[in-house]
Amino acid sequence: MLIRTGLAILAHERPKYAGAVLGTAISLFLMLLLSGFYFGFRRDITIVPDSFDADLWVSSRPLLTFDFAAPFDDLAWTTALSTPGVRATTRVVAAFTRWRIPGAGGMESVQVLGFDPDAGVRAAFGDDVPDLSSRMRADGGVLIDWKDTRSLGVARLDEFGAEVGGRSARPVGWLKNRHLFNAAYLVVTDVDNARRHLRLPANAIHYLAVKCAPGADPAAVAAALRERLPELQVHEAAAFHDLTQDYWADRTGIEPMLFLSMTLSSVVGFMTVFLTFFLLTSQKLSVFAAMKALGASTADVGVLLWVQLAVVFASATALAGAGLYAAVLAFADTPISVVLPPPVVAGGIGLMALACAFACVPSLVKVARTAPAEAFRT
Amino acid sequence: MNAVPAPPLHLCGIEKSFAEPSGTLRVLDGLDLTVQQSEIVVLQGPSGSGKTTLLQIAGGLLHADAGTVRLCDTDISSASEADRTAARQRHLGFVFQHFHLLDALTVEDNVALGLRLKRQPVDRARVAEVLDRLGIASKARKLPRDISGGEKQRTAFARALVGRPDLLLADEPTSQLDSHATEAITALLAEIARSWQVAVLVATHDVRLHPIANRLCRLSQGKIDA
Ligand SMILES: Nc1ncnc2c1ncn2[C@@H]1O[C@H](COP(=O)(O)OP(=O)(O)O)[C@@H](O)[C@H]1O
Ligand SMILES: [Mg+2]
Repeated sequence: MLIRTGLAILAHERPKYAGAVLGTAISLFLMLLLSGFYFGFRRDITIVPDSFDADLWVSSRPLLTFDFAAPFDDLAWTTALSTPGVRATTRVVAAFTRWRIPGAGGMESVQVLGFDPDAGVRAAFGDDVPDLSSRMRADGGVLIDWKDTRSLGVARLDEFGAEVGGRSARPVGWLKNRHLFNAAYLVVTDVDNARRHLRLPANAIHYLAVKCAPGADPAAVAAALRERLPELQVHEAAAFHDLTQDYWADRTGIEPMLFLSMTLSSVVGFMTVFLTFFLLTSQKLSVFAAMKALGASTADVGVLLWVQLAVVFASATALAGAGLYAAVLAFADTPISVVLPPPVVAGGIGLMALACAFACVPSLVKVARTAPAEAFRT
Repeated sequence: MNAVPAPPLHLCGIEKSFAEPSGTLRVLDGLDLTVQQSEIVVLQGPSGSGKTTLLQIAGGLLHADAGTVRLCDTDISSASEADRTAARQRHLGFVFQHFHLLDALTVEDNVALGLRLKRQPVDRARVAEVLDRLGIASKARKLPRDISGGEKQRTAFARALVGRPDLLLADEPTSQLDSHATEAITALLAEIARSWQVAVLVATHDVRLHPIANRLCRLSQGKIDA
């Protein structure tokens, strides 16, 4: 086979192919990193509701997004608890206010989340904080993310001086990677503290997060809740997730932007491969014609190109992978989320492979159209 | 029946025209030519007289408008594309004016490629034998950029000869060489044609090739004047 010949040509002209490797690597890297930002953003949009192990959510109506809910009376809580099929329910308060940084005293925007830590609906906030519920219940006790300590001006547990909504607050534990997609910081506490920080009436809540009993059909439980709480809106967890996702996707226009960037980066990959291969093929056409005169088929010469493309693509993928690994490590210490599900990585690599394969087509056409007789003319 | 082998090349009534802006250019006009086994035929003619066109037709790389082309026992003018390729692989060796070696391959790999492209097993001993015969055994591991023009031409001859062709078609093989290299390669060519029984059709306007010709043919007005 001509595989060795293809590799020899590649090795001989490494500097010329290095350009194609670099171009493809950069475009693959960009494509995957952008996807990583996008999926990180998507995760963070609903990171608060998704952190609750709830089957159903109850809100005032109409609800546009998790972030902007109208309060309702927590009498509904007892109604929900007594509804058949409900195993547990927690009251949830979630709204924006301001955080005063200790010392110099700048202001930051925060989303205060309050819930009942012992209500029996698991919530992934400060899981590893010892004695979590009593700390959250202590007056002014809040959890913030360990990456936000610098920005919020509190470095140690129980450090005093910060204010949330004009009331004194102190960190009693750290959250791990709980970042909001917007500029606000997440502050987690219990329902009563949250009401005080948000200056809500003592009976106001924004949500009930409901866990159904084992074996109960969430749709049936939702129907029962709707009957008992006609003035409120009952959402199944998946629909609740989608509501907020769709709202922010619409409001931010991130999807078309991401699509455009991904398209542009695959175009860059396509163009570098196309230009490199087309140029290098054009330079060798008379040699290819001679090979054909000596008995080679178009497929034989095509093998040379495919072998080279495969090596270029594999090297580019390895390079992009190394770059991506470094980038993910670098972003790990920042509040910027990079989330890359394996199917997305595979899809990105597949898309780039396709772009590269298409980029080779004009060169192959050129090889196919080269008549062996041309070896005598050039 | 007697077993007189068919001549390596038999051209009969070859016609070839090209469309030009100023009308049709008749390059070959009922040309006949036969090259016998081990015979060296030197095809002369001024530039533009159709020497290259004739080699392309003889090599099955260009269709004649009329006439028959026989390579040994195959009529390639009426054969299918696949049969034509097979006949080319079986019977022919080509040497081009500009060598057309692969820059990335060593001299020996370029020669081995001649076998590979003919779908023959790569016989390293055969490659070494041909390199030795052509006096470039010591250059076997060198890349084309590290050898002289004469050595490149020898490599091109080696690539053409390694597959034991019946007929070698060479177009202006000495146009890139100085007279020393030309003398050496022509002497070698004559000797190889005789001992390996290869017929050679070489198109050239280089008179230094005349001494080795068994026959000198002149191409004019699209025909051969003997
Ligand atoms: N593919 C082609 N299309 C048009 N004209 C051609 C083509 N190939 C050769 N010719 C013309 O045919 C004539 C003979 O060319 P060629 O066989 O190359 O002559 P030589 O090799 O003797 O110099 C020239 O006038 C050339 O321009
Ligand atoms: Mg010519």
